Amino acid sequence: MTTSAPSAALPWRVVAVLVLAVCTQVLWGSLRATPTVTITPLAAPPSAAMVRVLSLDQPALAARLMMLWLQAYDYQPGVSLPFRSLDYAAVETWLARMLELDPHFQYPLLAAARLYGEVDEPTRQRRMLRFIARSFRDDPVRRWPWMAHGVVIAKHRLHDLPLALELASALAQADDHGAIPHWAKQMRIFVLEDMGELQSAKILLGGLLASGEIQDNHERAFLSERLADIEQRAAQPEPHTNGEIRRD
Amino acid sequence: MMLKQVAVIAQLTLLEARRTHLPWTTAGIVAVGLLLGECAAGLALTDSHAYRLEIYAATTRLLMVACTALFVATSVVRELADRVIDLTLSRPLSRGTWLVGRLSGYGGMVCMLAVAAALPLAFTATPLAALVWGVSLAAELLLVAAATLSCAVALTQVVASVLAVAAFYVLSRSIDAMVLMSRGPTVELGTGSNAFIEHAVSGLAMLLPALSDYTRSAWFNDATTGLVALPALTMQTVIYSVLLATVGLFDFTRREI
Repeated sequence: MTTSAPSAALPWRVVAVLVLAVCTQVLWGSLRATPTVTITPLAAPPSAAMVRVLSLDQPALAARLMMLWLQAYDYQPGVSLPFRSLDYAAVETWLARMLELDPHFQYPLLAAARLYGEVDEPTRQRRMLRFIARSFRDDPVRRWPWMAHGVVIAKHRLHDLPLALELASALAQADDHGAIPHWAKQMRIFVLEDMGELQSAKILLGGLLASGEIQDNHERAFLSERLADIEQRAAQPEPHTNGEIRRD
Repeated sequence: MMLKQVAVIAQLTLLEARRTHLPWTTAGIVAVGLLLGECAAGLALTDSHAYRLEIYAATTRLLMVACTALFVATSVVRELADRVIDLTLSRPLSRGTWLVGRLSGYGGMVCMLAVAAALPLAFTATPLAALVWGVSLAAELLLVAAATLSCAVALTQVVASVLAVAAFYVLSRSIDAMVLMSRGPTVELGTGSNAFIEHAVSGLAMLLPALSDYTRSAWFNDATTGLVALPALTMQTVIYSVLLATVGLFDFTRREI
């Protein structure tokens, strides 16, 4: 067993060299140039096969780690990148790769809808909405909430009613085995109404009520009232709108 | 007299490296690096040569660092545990001479490791890039060896020493990023705690060698930049090796054997 001698027994030369070395290092370190910010562009993600190998065949874990990495990507050392400066094609590839690794993983769709889809840049927003629509087709039962959110973004943020209708129609026509609630499926009717397509909205809403799918009395009353309102407006002479679309 | 003693201990250290099959381990590391580089180059659709170089360089660098730390830690701890150090110091030999001799021996060893790692690059990259990369790797490995020597002398445990060196290495390689993060655009430096953290990280950066400046893969494309950086890296290596050796000697001198 070894013991330590008191510090006073140390040769003064050792202490002197130590102090001198520390001072020299601090001086050298202070003379060093300040580190500069380097922005690293977002590269393409590794292939699913490669990720499986690297994660020792734990694709779900790998998808979650990839999501955290992508989410933190916009905050690089010394700089915070705005979403609009990101390469959205690369972002979409990363999100798609995560869904490929774990189809039950909802986070990539949440990120597409609520993070990257909130950017104030219509082209990038549309890209995210198209990504959500494509992903929705693969699994409508689990992914319908993001599609419904996409309809809201298309209608109220982008003011792109044709796109909102496209998304809402996909939502309404999905083979969901009853998993998608009625309010989400009815979004198509209200988008049509906003577009001035009153006849189409009337037919769809009337058909829905007649089918008996709506069991809730309050919901039936609300939709019946809405149908009456549409019928009333459809019966009135068409105002001259110069092709304008009503947005509310 | 002292120089002769240092040379003898350094020779013994190199002999130990040879007898513990370190050359074969080094050859294995180079082979693994080459294999991984070739695999990456084979998978890449384009720019396969860059993949080959960078994967080889990154893998070999990391494995050489691990190999150096493990070898130095086991070597020193074994000498201390087997009481060989008692026999050595019973002769007219100071502790400082033993430590400097050991460090010189490890210095010679890491030079050989760096030559072995850089040799394949001389044929795949430009000879100048291979030379610059190799010299920088030797400097980096010397710092790792000096840090491990000091830790092993102080802690006398292989696991604890290697973990301490791993922490030192990771911190030194990431300290520049930490400095940038501590004063990033989202950090409110007016807040007391943030200002304290920023000063603490900047202070730490002055005490640590910036290992992120060493052995950069970017030098394969621009060897001149690496050549220009070498004098500063050499100076930093000399200063920090002396500092680490003195820290080790500080503890070793206090120890009653």
